[in-house]
Amino acid sequence: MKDNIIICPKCQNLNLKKTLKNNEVALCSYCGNILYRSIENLDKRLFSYAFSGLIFLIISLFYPIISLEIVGYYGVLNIIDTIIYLFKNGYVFISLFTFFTVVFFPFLILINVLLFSFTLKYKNLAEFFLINITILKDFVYLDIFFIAILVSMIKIFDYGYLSVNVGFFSFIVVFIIFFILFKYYNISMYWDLFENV
Amino acid sequence: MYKICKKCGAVNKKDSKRCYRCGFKLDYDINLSLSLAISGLVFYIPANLYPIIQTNKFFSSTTNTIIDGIFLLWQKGDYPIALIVFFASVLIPILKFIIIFYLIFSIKTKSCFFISFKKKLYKFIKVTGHWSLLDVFVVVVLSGLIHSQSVSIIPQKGALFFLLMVIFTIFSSMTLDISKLGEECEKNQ
Repeated sequence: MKDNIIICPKCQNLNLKKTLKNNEVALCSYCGNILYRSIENLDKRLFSYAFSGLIFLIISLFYPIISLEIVGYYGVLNIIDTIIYLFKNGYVFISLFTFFTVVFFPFLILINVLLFSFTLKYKNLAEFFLINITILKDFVYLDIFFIAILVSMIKIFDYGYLSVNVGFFSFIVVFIIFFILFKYYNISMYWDLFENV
Repeated sequence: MYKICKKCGAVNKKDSKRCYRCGFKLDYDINLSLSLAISGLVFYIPANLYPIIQTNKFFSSTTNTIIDGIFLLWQKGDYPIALIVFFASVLIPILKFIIIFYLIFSIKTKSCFFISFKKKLYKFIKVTGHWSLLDVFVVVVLSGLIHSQSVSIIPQKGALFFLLMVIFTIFSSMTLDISKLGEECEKNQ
């Protein structure tokens, strides 16, 4: 157990872990790469990001994302309806995969972040939620789904009148929130927060 | 010597079987990774041979494979999108297979050459690997958007094989224990 040592992900150099003051950044002693940072009120930030993420996720799931009008036909992209449509038409595996990676896991992970920040004082409970976050974070593919929407929009741009709806803008917010939660704040920060309480 | 937990980033002793912090497995059998990569390769062949999408327009119906889709985009003049789809659906899967088999071969033969380069290759497949799902999600989005009696877009067998191929390669790279690279070289030094 080496809880006072950190390995630089860039140069693999071993560094001693030190307690930082708020908004301070720890750099690798060899290559200067950012190792970890201390963020003021991280638990409250996590709570607010997860809460807003949940609201925007629900909006983006149930409201139309884009709509297409070709002479005589009006089509709307709604994630839940798409999954149900694929499932009913026999594309069970594809629909389940989309359901889990774009709907269920993102929803579950936001709930877990919310509960983790809420139950931080109760070590056992917080650890349970944190382990869930650690497992699930690798199986959320919202970023790829978002790029897929953009690629599809370009593919069908010439065929009819395309418009973006409220779900699309909500999806962008969810995408940004996930970026902040798991790219800007990485999972090590969550574990540090858990261990330092 | 130390080992980083892939899940939580904690530093563990090299001989640890599980991470002291999150409890995840640190030590995977290289043959598991190899078998998952081979399974992925098996699905890669039908994924490229079978059509992934079917477009129905009134009384006509056309099917397209991944390569067809890229050519259509290129002919239409959507060069950046054609390139993105080409990179995500053709180039990255091929590169991923080459890199995974190369890394497994290096671990099995206890090779001591280009260790840091191989670790960079591993990072590359970890970061880019799941982007191959792009084509599958494009099919999902299009079929969800366009599904009337006169005009519809529906997924085909190829999409399912492609999805399975990506899932197997993701699991293969997840279970690939990169800390075993150059292990023997450290001992010899």
